[in-house]
Amino acid sequence: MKGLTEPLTPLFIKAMAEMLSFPFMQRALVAGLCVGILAPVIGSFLVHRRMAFIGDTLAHVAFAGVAAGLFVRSLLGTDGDLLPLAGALVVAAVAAVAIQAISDYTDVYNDVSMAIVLSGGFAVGTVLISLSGGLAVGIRSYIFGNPTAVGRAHVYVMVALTVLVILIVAVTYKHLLYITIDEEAARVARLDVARHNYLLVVLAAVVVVAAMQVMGVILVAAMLVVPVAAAGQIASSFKRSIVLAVLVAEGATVSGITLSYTHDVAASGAIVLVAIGLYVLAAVRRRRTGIGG
Amino acid sequence: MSVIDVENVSFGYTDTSVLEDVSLVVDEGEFLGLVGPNGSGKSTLLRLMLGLLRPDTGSVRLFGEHAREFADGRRIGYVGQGVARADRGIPVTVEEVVRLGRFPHAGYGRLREEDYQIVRDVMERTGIDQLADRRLQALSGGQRQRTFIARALACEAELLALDEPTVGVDAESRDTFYDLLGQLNEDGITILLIEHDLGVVTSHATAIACVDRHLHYHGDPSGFTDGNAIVDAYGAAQRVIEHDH
Repeated sequence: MKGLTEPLTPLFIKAMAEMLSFPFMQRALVAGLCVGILAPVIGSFLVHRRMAFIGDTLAHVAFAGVAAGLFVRSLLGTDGDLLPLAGALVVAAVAAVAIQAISDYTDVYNDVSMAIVLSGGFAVGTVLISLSGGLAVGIRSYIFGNPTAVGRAHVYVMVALTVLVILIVAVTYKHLLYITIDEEAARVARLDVARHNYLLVVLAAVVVVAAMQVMGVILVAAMLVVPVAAAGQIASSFKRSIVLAVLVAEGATVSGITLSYTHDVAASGAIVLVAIGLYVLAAVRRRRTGIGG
Repeated sequence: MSVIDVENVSFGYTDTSVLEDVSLVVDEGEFLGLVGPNGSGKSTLLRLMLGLLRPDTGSVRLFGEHAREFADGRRIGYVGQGVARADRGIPVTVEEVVRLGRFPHAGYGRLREEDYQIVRDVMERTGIDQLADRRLQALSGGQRQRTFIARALACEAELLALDEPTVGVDAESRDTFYDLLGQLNEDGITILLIEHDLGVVTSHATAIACVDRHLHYHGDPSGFTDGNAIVDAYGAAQRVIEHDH
């Protein structure tokens, strides 16, 4: 092992140093670091409430918003970097509220209605793209993810969203935790469960949209789920599980983006594969040492 | 003074009613055992009493206010159905669960030293102080149940509402649990308990309410075991097995 890591470590540092000399790679890394914080923090509340599927749904719906943003951009003849992002944010937030309203009405997170919303959103996106033609290159990075295509303004927005989301979670942590562990008891304790449920799904929409250009529509939900699942295997408390999930996600994004630079592979795919690898390691460790051991 | 006042309440999730014209008063300091066959509407009645559901007709008052509008969550401790069963794998410790009981007191603010002290005290009282850092998932049914009872106590509530909390709990833990409920009741806490084991509940509660869509009986436990309410609600095959403790 020692013989293997000795030559690898300087190689890794050399690759990182070279990579960080390029502004587009710097932006990619900052964007990746933001995703590595945002996704597992919100994912921790979603996964343990069995709402993991909502991330996937919101990503596919947000895709319609991206397509609408690109469509408007082509109509206006501008090159506004944030128009697709703004479109995605509006559409995903509206969808999040609609999904929560449906679940409040039917008293259950309905996977059939979510599947309809998911495929419907993606279908609207594909129709808009075909109507406006010539958008295939722009839309590709949103479907498959491309951290190196993240613009300067987008990075600023991501950093701002990260700070905002963390602040909101810090203030509402007790409420979100209570509802995650025991929603009915939280209602009896007269915590405003409905308002916090809406807040959580809207935060999920914000995170999905922020992470979409890095991870792509198809893989963005993985960052909400996989690091949280890995942390859940070995964490000894809920608070520690959030910290651990962020560490797993950061490890995955930094190594995934580095691998994409050194080996010319898709960054989003590499990030998710590293995260899954870490999940397997966590699951093996749990088998050996027991829960939270 | 009445803690809960249910007046002519009817309720149905669909067109079929689950409860019909139920009237019931729970007085301060009472230990009410709420019993009835499976699907009799006792959990629904409890949820109506706590303001989680709105009655179709009639009214429910909680501490003198309309139950749906009652806003002071600090006055109610609640342990829901099946808490002693295996949890969903949430990586949460015993102490984290017990601390939830202090959240209605803290609101959006931080917990204070006084809150942490109360959490430590109730964990000691329920015998789970040694388990504080253990993950809930790694505990036995009885230990998990005590954790949720401790959460309800940490709330320093005047009313403790428990919905079949002993499902999945071994006999010894159940005895300890009932001793604890007895002590809490002696301390003045009003207790509202749904329990499927008639023998256990009739030997501990100070009053029994038996529902099966209608209220079949409301009165002291001896009247319930001696009278016809059991046959009315459960059918002739049911009998009460007295527990010697």
